[in-house]
Amino acid sequence: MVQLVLAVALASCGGPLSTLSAAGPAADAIATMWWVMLAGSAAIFALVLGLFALVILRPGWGSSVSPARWIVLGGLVLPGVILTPLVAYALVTGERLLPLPGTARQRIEVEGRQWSWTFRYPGEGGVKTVNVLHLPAGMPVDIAVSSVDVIHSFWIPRFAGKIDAVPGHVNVLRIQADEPGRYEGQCSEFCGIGHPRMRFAVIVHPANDFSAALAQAAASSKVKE
Amino acid sequence: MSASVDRPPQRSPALRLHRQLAAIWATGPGLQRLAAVNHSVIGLRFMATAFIFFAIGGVLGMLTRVQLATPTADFMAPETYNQVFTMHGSMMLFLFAIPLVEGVAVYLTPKILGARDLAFPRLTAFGYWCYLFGATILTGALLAGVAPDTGWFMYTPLSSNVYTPGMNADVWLLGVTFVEISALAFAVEIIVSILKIRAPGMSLDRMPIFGWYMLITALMMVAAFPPLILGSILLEVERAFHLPFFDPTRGGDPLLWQHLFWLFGHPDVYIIFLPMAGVLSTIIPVLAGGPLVGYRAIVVAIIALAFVSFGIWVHHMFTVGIPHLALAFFSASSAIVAVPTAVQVFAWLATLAHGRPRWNVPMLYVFGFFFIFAMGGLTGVMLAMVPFDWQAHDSYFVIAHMHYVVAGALAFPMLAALYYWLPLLTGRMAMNQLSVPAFWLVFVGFNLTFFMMHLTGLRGMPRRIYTYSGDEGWNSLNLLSSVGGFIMTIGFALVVIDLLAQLRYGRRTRRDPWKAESLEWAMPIPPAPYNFASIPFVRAGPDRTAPEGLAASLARGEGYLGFVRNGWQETLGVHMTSGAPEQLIVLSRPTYLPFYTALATSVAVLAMLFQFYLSALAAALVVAGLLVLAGQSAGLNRDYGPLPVGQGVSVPPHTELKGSPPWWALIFTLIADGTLFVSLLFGTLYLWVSAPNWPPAQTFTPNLGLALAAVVALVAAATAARGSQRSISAGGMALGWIGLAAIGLVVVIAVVVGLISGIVPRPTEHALGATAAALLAYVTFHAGIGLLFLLSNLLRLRAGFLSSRRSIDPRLTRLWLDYTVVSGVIALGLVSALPALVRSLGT
Amino acid sequence: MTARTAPVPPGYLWWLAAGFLVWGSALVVVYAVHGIGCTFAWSTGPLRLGLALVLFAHLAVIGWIWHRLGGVDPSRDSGQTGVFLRMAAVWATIAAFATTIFTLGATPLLTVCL
Repeated sequence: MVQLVLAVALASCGGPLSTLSAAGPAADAIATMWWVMLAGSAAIFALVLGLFALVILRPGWGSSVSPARWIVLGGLVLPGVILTPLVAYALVTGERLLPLPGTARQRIEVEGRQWSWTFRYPGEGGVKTVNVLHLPAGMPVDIAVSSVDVIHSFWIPRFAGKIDAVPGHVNVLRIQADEPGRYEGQCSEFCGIGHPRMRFAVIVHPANDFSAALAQAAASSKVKE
Repeated sequence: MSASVDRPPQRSPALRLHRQLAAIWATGPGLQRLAAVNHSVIGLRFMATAFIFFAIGGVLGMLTRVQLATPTADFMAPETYNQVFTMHGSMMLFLFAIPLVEGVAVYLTPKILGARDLAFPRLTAFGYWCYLFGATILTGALLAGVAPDTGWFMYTPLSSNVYTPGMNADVWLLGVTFVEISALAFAVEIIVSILKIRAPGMSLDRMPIFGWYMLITALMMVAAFPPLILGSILLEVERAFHLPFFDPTRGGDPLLWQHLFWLFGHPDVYIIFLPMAGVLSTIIPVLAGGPLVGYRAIVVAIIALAFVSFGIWVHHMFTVGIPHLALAFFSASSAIVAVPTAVQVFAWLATLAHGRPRWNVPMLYVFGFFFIFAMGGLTGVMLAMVPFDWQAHDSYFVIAHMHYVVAGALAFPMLAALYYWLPLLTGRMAMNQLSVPAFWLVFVGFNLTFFMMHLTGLRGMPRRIYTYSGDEGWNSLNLLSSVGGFIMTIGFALVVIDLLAQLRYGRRTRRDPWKAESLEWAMPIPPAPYNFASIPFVRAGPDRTAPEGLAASLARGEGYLGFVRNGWQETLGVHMTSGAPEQLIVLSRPTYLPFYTALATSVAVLAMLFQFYLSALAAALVVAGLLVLAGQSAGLNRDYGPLPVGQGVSVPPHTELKGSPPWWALIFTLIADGTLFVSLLFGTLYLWVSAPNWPPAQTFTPNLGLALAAVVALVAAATAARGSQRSISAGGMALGWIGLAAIGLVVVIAVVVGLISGIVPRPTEHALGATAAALLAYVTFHAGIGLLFLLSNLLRLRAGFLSSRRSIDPRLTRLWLDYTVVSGVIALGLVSALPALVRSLGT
Repeated sequence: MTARTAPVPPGYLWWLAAGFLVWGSALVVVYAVHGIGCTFAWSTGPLRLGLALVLFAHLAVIGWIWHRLGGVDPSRDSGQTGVFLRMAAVWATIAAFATTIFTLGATPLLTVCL
């Protein structure tokens, strides 16, 4: 059964909202971390279950190893040796994803509300779009997220992790899209009846086209309003 | 006063003793069952009721799986779905997991420790009724369509009255708090029982490991439940009276709710895990035919686990915008919490390696535990890594992880425990023909359901959505999960059938079928209400506390207390660390009072739910009165001096001793209270530092005069309480001192109410006012309870329950008032300092 | 446990918790100092130094507890129970020491307030 599941898994890791179809450096770093952790976990799982099988099915197996050694090796050394580099790896990765001031090329303001997303572009004349986020490709962008009512969460899985939209606070997420194209984002904090529908489209434009494309999109959506 | 000494045939003394004890300890039939206070009866009730809620919660979970099996399904409307998933989580965690663990502990702990009952039988009963009534309120709301619908952790502002105007959220807040207070009562009782009520000779290093696990679990409960109780009170007060603790527009912060909730929520899962780990540590050595390896390592590991589990709650909040540096130490702690768990796992492996493991139904479930818990633990370490959590948080990956650890840590060990201990109750063993297929159906079904969810989550499916459009790539995974759910449900149904069949057709077995040679097996099948006809002296431990032949010897009355006296329910209290016999504990007989008190509490809760606040206040006063009434019959109404308890030993009754169970109970209650208070202090300071819209436009001038007056009155009351204690210990009546203390407390209440009315901004306008009011209300409440203590002292003094030897009451009052003084000084100090703190924020 | 040795006083049980209570304090104080420092915009250097000092102070206290417990003359232990409790307390303290280093050690090295 495990092989079947693995086959299913590996064959279908994609999808418009998949964290494993990374389309930006942050998601890519995190996806790499996931594969490393998966490999490590599989090895540890096999070890623990293997030991269990051996001690049950072969009575006396392992009795020559003293109790103290079992506990020290398995309970202290094994986790210590694994967790220390893992935590270090995770902290370094986390540091690299931080929105350090002065290193973003754009800042976009996001306002979540029940049940839609409003995007404002202060660097592009303060225009606004609703439920469609426009981004320039290939450059780091700071997304400043807040909410006007309840807690929502801003998530574009193919680009980066998520950040909560908490009323009364502004949280900043650093994202970067590698390639132009169309992507998807969604609210990922339960916010009431409309929560499943609170999706948004993400359209990434080539960097030099960005201002013009955004102005056009904002104008045409204003016409519709 | 021992049984008669003539020597008729061997069985006769045992039978006579049994009849005498049964007459005293048995619960009456019919309606008298409502008056039961015996731990075996109540423990079974807890477990049976918990299983009913497991079934209901399981059905709710299956309903969500039906809805999610296909995209854009309309099996359930979104409003219904939101109630269903909220109640699934709330029921499973609050109405099944914790009560089940309580039930197991209540039933087994006295037996394993060689005692006849827990320390406070009426409290055990009260705890059960509160659980049952609170659970009924929640279930009733579900049937009426007004169940909570904002998720089992009720994040604000969604759960505030602005966005959830209906009573759904109030049902959760009031119902869950009702149940949690019962859990706190249980925790205090278990701590006192484990520390003081064991078989003589059972020093702490000879105590079976289950005792250590339950002791540490209960200590965790004492520290973990108060933040939730505080949060629930604050949110209910916000919803009902508009004090803005969590409303960002008025200086509150939604994140404060999350901190308070998860401060409880994370330790909660270890509170659920540890007792089951205790079960495993008990069962595995027996099934391996050898001693438990690493007893001391395990004790150290679970102490470490208990503490570290309180330092990792923010891993539920990695995406709320907390700085990465702060997240870093919660991440590292969440990783290192795997170490004490690994120590236990390898201790179990070593125990199996050094024994000769037998393959039977409990061992099959132990395998299930290893498989599932290992997987859950590994995904837990993954989620502890912040960047990964930034992707996986609030997705189905977390749901997968959570169910793996909960099923691994709770469901499988629980079933192992059932198959292992059911013969104690029924005298029959499982029939493998049904048990084994049932296990595999549950195991395979569980894995199919929840393994898929790891993938679903990684592919971006968020939690708590009632449907999905179908083009995200989640369809086949969801269908597989739903199919798995049905297989698992069939498996559980088969388990139930198997257990019922075992009751009827199981192979009969003699006592101690597993050859555990531990105390819970050294008694008749089913256990008598008094557990042991006489209490053993434990010569060896922690394994084999009941060697071959002990059971028969105890039944013949050859241990301690192998006789009846004055119609009392007696057991022995021991020195905390050495286990030397120290006091004769006289326990309460069956009474309807816990039932009535729980009923009155339910009336108060329902009144608050329907917003009849004056009625609620009246009901609360009735509850207070009933609690004072309960105090009236506690203990003994005359001095006895040391009484013989068998084996040539005489010890005083618990009423005539300083370190008696009520004393320790109050100490641990005050620790719980203190945790609530510290949470309130934390909340106030948190809002000052973090919340939006601070500083408020105006602030109050601290009225130092009134504050000082309150402190002086508090100190006066506490001093008067000391005076009353000295007077009673000297044989006097202390009426003057009691009166003085009461006056002091009344002054405190008046002054503090005056302070509350002078708060600017008003408590409903800004969180500054709300937190100041909350701190002052805390002082008032404690002064009020102090008055109840004094009233009880007075009534019991006049009824003859107090004497120079029996002086626990004024000592308890003094302790309560000392706590009130310390917490009062801190609260009044912080309130007086708040304006200065506000000014330091600048404009 | 012989009848002649004095029993371990109940208060001794606090030693089982002592090391970890200090760890808990370290966690709370570091979180508080960082939170307050960021709110009041303290500059990075002094804030980092402050966090490091908090960490070292708590490690010193745990070290002192370890020394106090480990150095007790074994012949004064109250029998087997005393030995058990003392060794359990020592190991719990060592665990607390290691936990403090592992969980808080990286703190002064990370970016503050972001």
